[in-house]
Amino acid sequence: MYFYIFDPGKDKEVKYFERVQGRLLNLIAENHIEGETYRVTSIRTVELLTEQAIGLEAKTIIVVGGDATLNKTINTLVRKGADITVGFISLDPTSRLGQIFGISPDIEQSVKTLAGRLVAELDLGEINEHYFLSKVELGENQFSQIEPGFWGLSSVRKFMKLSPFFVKMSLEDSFTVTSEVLGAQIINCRNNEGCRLKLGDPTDKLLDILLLNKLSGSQIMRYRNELATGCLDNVPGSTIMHAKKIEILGPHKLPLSIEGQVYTKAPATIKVAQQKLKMIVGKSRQF
Amino acid sequence: MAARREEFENSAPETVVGASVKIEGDLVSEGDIRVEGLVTGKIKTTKNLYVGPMAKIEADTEAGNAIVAGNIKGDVKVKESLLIQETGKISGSITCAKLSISEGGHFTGTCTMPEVEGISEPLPEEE
Repeated sequence: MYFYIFDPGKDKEVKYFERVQGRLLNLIAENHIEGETYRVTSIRTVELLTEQAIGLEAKTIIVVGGDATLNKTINTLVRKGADITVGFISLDPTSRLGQIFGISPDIEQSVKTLAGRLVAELDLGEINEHYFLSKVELGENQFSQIEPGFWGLSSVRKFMKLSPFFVKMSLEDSFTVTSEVLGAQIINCRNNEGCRLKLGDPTDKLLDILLLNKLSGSQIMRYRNELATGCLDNVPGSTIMHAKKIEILGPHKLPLSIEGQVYTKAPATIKVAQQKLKMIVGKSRQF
Repeated sequence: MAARREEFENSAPETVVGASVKIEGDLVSEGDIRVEGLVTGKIKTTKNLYVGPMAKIEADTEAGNAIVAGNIKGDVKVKESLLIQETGKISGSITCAKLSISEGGHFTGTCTMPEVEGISEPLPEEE
């Protein structure tokens, strides 16, 4: 049984959802993937609806919403130990997870992808009992939250304001890494568009550690386009490592964020979760 | 040798230790390693190791192939070929099948080169 969670979000997305809702339901019926549909409200949260789907023994949950909705659903599924396949229809044309998983922002294409039912078993990252698909950013300098603007120019001022910070981490209980960095990311999967290296394969059972060196003002100017893509590895001299388990040892209270939201502070352990996620992916997925 | 050097420089290594990074402990990888920073402890890979000109390694090192342009203090064990470039310096014992040292490259220590099977044995004299 398919269980649909509609989470139109706010403002723009609600208007878009209202506009495409009828067409979406028709497409679902045409592709023979109809099921029970529920809309998220202030009292009927994503988490409650996911639990309801588990209770109804749904075989597939289709999340119709944004990346945040997908993350909430996955967290509830993993915490409950439910073996349910997840599908995703993005209502946000800039959805990072949609791009990574090869799910088109066009609803007709995304319904076809769901009907195709190409299921991949994906790794999840775990940080203090919170599960994530994408990446954790260390410190205040969150490059993924900076909009590049025209030719990366508007972001230069923001990059110039960023202060470098020290970070100390232990990898695989085997060695410690100490460095002064301008940015630090721990990646389970990412949108590799515009990136020099293909990092963040969610099927390799590894997390990728990416550290951006301290940069001078002229270097920031020179590499503004590379920085604006959010791919820190585009800047020469960046550090890249891989591990299953990373302990962020310091500095004490260094914020650790996912998609711009602080989840915990150092010291903390980030690792590949034992649980996997069964996800319907598209042919144009990035792994 | 030049082709291998180019391959090192152009291909994307799986592990890169940047210039501002200090590592203490055992750095073990199943892929290529490029070190530009400081490492103390041990480095081990079955693939290629590149030690950049500014790198300082105080560690025993094991690799499939290695190019050293920086400073290594410790034993270096390379399965196939080891190249010490003009800025490279190794203080310690080396074990490798093939060794090249560019003009200006430093090496202080002992070197062991295992005999390649089939070549070491003298051919029997024809009667």
